[in-house]
Amino acid sequence: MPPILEARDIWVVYGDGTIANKGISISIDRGEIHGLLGENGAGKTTLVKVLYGVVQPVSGEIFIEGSRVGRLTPSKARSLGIFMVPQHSILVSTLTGYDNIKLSYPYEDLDEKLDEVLRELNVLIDLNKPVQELPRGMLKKIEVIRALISGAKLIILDEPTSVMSPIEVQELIKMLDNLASKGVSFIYISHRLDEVVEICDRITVLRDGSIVYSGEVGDVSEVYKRMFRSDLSYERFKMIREGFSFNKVKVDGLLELPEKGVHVILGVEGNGQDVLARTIVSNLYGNGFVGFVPGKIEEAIVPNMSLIENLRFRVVDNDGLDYVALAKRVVERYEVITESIYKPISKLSGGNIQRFVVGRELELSTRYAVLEFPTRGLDMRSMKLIHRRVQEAVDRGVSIIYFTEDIEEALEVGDFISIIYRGKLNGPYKVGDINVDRIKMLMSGIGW
Amino acid sequence: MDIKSFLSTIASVLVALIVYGIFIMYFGGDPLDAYYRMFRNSYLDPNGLYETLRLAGSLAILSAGLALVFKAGIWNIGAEGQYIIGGIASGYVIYVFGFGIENPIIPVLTGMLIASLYSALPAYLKYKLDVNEVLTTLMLNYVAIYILFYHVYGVWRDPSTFGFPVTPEISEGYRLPDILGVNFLFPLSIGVSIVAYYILFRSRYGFKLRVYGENREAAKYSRYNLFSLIVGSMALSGLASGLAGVGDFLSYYHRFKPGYAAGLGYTAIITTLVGESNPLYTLISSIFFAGLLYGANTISIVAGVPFEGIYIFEGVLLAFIISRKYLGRWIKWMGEGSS
Repeated sequence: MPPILEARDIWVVYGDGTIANKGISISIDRGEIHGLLGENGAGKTTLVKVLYGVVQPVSGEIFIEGSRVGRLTPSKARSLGIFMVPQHSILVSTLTGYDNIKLSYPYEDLDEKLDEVLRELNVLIDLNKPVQELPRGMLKKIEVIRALISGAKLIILDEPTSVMSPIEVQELIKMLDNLASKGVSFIYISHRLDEVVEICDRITVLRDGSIVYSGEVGDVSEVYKRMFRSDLSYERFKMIREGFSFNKVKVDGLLELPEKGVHVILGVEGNGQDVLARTIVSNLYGNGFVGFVPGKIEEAIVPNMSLIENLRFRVVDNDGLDYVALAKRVVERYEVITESIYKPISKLSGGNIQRFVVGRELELSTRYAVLEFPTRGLDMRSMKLIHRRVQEAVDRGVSIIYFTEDIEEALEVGDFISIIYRGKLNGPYKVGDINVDRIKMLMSGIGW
Repeated sequence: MDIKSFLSTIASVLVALIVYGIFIMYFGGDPLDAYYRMFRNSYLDPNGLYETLRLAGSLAILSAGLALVFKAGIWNIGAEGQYIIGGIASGYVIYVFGFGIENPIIPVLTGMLIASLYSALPAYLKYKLDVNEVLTTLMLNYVAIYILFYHVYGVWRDPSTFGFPVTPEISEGYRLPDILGVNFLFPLSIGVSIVAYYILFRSRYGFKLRVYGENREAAKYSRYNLFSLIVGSMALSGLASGLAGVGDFLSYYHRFKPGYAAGLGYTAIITTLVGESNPLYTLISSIFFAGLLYGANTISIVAGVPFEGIYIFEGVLLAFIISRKYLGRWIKWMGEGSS
């Protein structure tokens, strides 16, 4: 049987001259879960956009179930059974799950098909609730089901677990495994190697637009070495996953700020971090420039303005600041890849925007900085870089509140740790005064 | 303006001209001939040019004010009402209070101030209660129109005109003179546009307005004073609309009549959008639209094409200008797309 999808020698050159894919070949069998790995900007997103018909390659061939397709468009891809579930949900948030599915499959046999799919999957989903009231893990499932009903043979999942709790990740993995055994194929894009190891049959690793590894999952530390330019150990970054659930609730804990150093607030996202961060920031108001990286990075940028203006709008009332020099400094020190600081920030990739915003806030901070998940979505190299810069800020006397979900990261950057769970804070502990097991328990809601 | 949006503007204008041309043909006119006559009458004929530049002046002043709020993502549809209220307020200075000085300065300043307050009211409601400014500014236009009618048909009606609904002519001293044979408003509009450009693109306040317009969250995130942005920009916009209203009254009409509310406040929305809310570009689009408005008048007389056809032109153009962002995206997507 021919592979469900095969791409040969794909080259993609963007208008600005960037070569995003350099002769990439990939093939996905029926019922296979194929992992696609790589740093930010390695070309993963471009490649799947080619396979989904959003981006046209300058050369290369695509075969779907053995027959060559010419110019692929998203609607053609869908009619051939290729579907994409983007990183950020594209469901209509005020409609129910059922109505969302109906939007893409408005035919009479919808109920019949839906029954069939739900029975086969054996998952519990409340399709009669507006999707905005559902947890994020549920949304991914609805999007997958929606694709299945419309006849998906291959589903591309872009960072499906980036904002999920560990238990939701496990449920999703179970569902994908089940579907794969029934012949549905997946391309699974992720930064998280432990997940990929658990779920994928084969993997393709990209770096700088080329394939650096392709084949069985095999030796993961070997894969990691290839994926990144510098040598980093895999164990350090293995996520610790425990089963716990969480809700959005108000923060009612108190917080002590360290005189100097990093106070980490550790907890799975959605436990009230955003409310806490904003409360802290407004309480610190008046202490010079208070750096703040919000959880939603898009709140911190003005997309159509240049990098310079994106720096300027934070300090517009501050006389005598050299915005241009500062923007240059941020770009250099935080390795923001851009042709020019006069370009709109929206032209940058997600990772570069993230680094720019974190850099801007850290560089501008005088006494305090509040960083909500500053390394989210970044690859390890960038994470390391941010950690170094945070340390440098501390050295010049900045107190930092650092939100993260990652215990390892907390132990590495933090001087103090508090654990946040359902709007309550436990701590602060001096790093070293609390052991990892205790942290894990607190994060899971045990021992409060 | 980059080359792409410039071309899409030109394309939108062409499409609108074609649709308008079909309308002209429907009434038995020859579109090319009509357009030629319009152009000749509006720009080459001395009398026509005077009228065109007068209209351009009003439109450009209105647009300069609208540019400030549109860039901030605030949709002031009420320029028409602010224009009228500005005029009426100056009418009170002239007809009612007098102050014994026959000079345009006090009427102009009064008109601007009152129009500014009239514009700040819906802005304050938006700031305080999050009331949609499109609805409130639009509704206030009707309030303004009926206030105008009340004065024209009622209290200020000139008894010497045997029942015509017009107010008495104002005396010479109040009038704004022509400058070098051009209506006062046109040179004034150049100054106003430059000031508005300076505020929008060279001042901190304008920068904050643009940030607020691009991303509300980012403005809140940087703790901008939203009162000063929302109410302040609307007050400035009202100031400009009021100036146009008083200006037309003192430099051209010299009295009020029902037709004083000629819809310039609505046309200015289109000139502003065509000019991408940049006061220097809106100056150009205003001159273009003024020519069309005056020209539409001419061909309605010469070719018997109803004047209202110009609104078809405006409507089609507005639809294209508003949708071009999406059309552009669609074309890009059809072409090749990029990350």
